[in-house]
Amino acid sequence: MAADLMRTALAQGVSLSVLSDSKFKHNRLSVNLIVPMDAETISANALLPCLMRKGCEGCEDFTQLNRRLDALYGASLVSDVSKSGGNQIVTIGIKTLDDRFALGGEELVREGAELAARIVFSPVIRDGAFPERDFELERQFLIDTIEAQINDKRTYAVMRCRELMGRGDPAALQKYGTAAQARALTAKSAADAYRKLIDRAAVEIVFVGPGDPSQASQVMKRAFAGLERHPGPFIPARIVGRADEVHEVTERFDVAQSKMVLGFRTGVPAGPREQTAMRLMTALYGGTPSSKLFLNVREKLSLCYYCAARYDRISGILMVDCGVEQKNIEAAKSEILAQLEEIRRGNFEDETLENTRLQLKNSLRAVSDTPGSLEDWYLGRIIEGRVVSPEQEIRALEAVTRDEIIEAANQVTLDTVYLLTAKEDSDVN
Amino acid sequence: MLTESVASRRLGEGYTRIEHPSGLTLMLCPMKGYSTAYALFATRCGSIDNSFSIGDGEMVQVPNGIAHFLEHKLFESEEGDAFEQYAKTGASANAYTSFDRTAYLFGCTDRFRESLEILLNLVTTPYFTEQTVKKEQGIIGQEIRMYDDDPDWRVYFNLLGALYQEHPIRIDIAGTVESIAGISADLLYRCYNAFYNLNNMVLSIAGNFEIKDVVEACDKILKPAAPVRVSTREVQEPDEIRTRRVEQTLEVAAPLFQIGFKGRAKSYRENILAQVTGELVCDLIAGESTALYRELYDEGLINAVFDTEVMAGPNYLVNIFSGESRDPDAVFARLTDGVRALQERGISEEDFERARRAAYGRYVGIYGNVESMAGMMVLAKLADFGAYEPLDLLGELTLNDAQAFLRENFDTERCALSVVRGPQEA
Repeated sequence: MAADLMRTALAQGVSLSVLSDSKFKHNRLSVNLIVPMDAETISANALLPCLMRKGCEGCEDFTQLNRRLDALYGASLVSDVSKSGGNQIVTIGIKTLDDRFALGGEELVREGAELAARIVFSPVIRDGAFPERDFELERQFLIDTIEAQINDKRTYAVMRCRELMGRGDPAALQKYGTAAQARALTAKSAADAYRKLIDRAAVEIVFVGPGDPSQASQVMKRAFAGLERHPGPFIPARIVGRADEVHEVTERFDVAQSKMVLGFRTGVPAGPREQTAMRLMTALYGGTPSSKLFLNVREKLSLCYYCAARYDRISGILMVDCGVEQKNIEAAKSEILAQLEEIRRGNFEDETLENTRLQLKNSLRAVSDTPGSLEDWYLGRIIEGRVVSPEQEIRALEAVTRDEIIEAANQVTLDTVYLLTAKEDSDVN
Repeated sequence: MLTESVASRRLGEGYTRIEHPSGLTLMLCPMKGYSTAYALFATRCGSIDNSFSIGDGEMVQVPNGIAHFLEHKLFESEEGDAFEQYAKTGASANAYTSFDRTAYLFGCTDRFRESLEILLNLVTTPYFTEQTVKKEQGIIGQEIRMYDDDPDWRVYFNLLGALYQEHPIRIDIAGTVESIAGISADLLYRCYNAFYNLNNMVLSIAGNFEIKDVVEACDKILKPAAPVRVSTREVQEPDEIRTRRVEQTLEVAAPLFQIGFKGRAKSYRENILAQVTGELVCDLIAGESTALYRELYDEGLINAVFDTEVMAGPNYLVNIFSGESRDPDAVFARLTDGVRALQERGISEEDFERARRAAYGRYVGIYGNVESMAGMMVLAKLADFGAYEPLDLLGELTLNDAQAFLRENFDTERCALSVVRGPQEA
């Protein structure tokens, strides 16, 4: 079984979290560089993991770097950008086979950590710039990725609603930034952004697996030793307690099916217990195949192709998103709100509540079954400043009462209705 | 009850294979420390099994898409659909149909025994009426139309249609709106009786559970079935491909492509095991560590979406390279040149060894995950190999094996390009 999380400080602004777990066959080590979301630097930071993945000291180009990964028994390299609250996270991670399976007796934890450290600290930068060709290709790929976001209309609509509800809070911006910003970057400005990232980032290193974490910790400690850095604190998202009025935003595209997103404020939570109640309420409302929204809006009335609710405790936002024919938009909206009203009035079966609780517990228990989900779980909570284990969250979930769920539903206020729909001149069906 | 322990020397662990008196094969791998149990109940009945005979009876041709249709219908019972039953146990459940098999599954961390009983009952209690069949024709018809617009799905099936002339692998798994119109309750029962005989099926479970519980549930629910011999029609697939290039217009941002090499198919077992070698050879041709990948990438012909894969099953083996490109024809030309060049100069010992290690490390990972372990055991039973054989094969694979695969299964006369492009570019 997974041991408890062990945290140690390796240097100023650098912490190591270790989850030792003998059942896994691979070890996963990630170096997370965390800086505030800032409209000025989002795109540059989003480009960095792609550029850092192109080569490093000792493996000067992409081919050499990949050959090194192959030699480490197909180690996989994670280079990614994400966000949590008001923070942008640049991740360089490596997953290596556990030493006990190495055919030649290699020390893979140590060798993997050394490679990760070189990718973080010694990317290929010459004369103060990333190699021009690599830079051009990766910037174009970033621009393409940003522009392709519109292809997936469901995800895009949710993202737009979140952005609108942010009212300028950097925490609500998109993790890749904008195409215009990406276009303005140069091979030199990207290298400047890299230096700034290393200087300012709070660093969270996470190790999950059966291997000896001290091997990784020594390598990382050495890598950060003697560096004069200026890391800042983590930034929480700005939580708006209540919606004062409903904002309606419609955007038109060349689409057959409309997407509607209802964004609610859930209030400033009094404590973790209220957050857990909100989580269970959301699942009951629209988080499972036996939820109110699924059974009524989708199955019974066939108003939507999909209709689901999600709750983001970091921003205190609950969203319902659905795919709907244009002629059904108003009917779907009033039914979605009517189902919330049902929960507010306590019109739900105890059996459904218990089934929902069971399903949430199931997914919480499953967190400990893959290194990746364990890493995500703990990193998210470390940044939030409140570390609880999945087991603790299960106990909290068991304690939530029916009244607390009704109370949670009554906390919720509608803030924004975002509609992505067909152009006005196209046929209305 | 015939019980056999299968162990891996390399990993120091194993699983248990039980021949249950009902005729069903149980592949059971309790995995210490895991919270989830993952169960698959599967049969060797896929979309390619559209002609079959029972015993010495005559060959029956059934409508395309019937295996998938059957999967949909079994997921429902007289008491309502399976999701509702599983909701009471908290398990997450699903089912899928592929070319060579149909599987019903669930994952849970609690109340395993109850969920298992739901699964066993579901699959062994067929319930079809003309009315429910009619309703399902509408639902699946919508699903088929959705796939018709899915660029990733189309580029893939267009490729298979270009490579294969006769093999039913070239037909969409769900069939067509026209073909499923020919499905009746009677035909569903006929298929069911052939392919869902317990002697032809496997129950595979990995993770957090006890063997005793599984055997007890099987004793309680499964009724012994007399074995039936099902023969599917022998596919007469010519060596030659149908066409070298196929293109379709659909809404996509950047053109998608798939390039396939039609391999020399052998037995089901041989094809599945050859897949391991095939994946390694694909990596040596155009994986991220190759000079060819780098050239294509640096010239802007491919991006990070580029991937390789080997698909194998009864009478088919295909090596596929897929991605997005502004010029798929250029990628096709460069790739076939690259294959020929590698065939001429041969794979170097150093490259081979590196690729073998990488594949070995990745395969070890399969045995450390409940879902992939359960999946591997299903395939092991259906295609008749030991679940650890792929890993052992990699442990002992030689350069000569890789060279032979490269020679036999990458014929540049037997390959095709499939492209899906947006309307603005066509």
